[in-house]
Amino acid sequence: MNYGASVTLQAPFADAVARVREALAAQGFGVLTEIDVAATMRARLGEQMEDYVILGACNPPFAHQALGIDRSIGLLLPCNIVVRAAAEGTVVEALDPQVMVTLTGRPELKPVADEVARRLAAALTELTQQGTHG
Amino acid sequence: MSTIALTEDTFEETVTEPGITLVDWWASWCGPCRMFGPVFQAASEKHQDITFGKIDTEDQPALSAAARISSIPTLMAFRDGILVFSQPGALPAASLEKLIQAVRDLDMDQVRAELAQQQGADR
Repeated sequence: MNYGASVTLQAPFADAVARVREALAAQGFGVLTEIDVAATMRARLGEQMEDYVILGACNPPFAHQALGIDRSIGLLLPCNIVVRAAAEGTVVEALDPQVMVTLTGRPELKPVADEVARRLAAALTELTQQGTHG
Repeated sequence: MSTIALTEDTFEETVTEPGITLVDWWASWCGPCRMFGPVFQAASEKHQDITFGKIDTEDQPALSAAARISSIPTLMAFRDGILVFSQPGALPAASLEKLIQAVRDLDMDQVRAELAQQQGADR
């Protein structure tokens, strides 16, 4: 099953993370959490891996709607975005919000998932089209 | 040449042909895939000697699962039947051009030697 949509940016990792945060903000998503996976693996396990962060993005009105439909949906919130270094540039991956619908089997969540998907797609598209911010 | 839709029945024979084959794994729900589609199409018209295959992951779930596609679009490059690149993330046109050139510039004798060495090490 594929559960993510992704773009590749020709930007250094730190710049890419900053640009992702801006693009998410422009679509109404705040970033509530930033998990530095590479640093955690290094500190806790001594394992080396490529630059890799997980951003927890949240749009409060949509989260509120989704929670009103299924109180347990918090298990799938916030919406995770992965930013990681790859062979060709920096890869940005966003979870497909339809996972909320398929996993829960609650079709009432579909309108929320559709709108979140549309906004995430707009944020990802914007990222590849802007050449202006660094 | 234009792009061709690949299926379970045609995937293997296509990617094992001599030369370069690029494969775009996509779906209609995926915004970045819709953006990458025209970039891939334009490249297919420019590089007539390369095969440009597209796999609709919704239409070909078994093939996508077998290829362990989790995030789309995923772009794969095969040369002489060897997978030499696989990465998710819609690429801008300039990056796709760079990638195509890098695949053209590969020293396949060296690639095959490294592959044989890796397989030897795995045993």
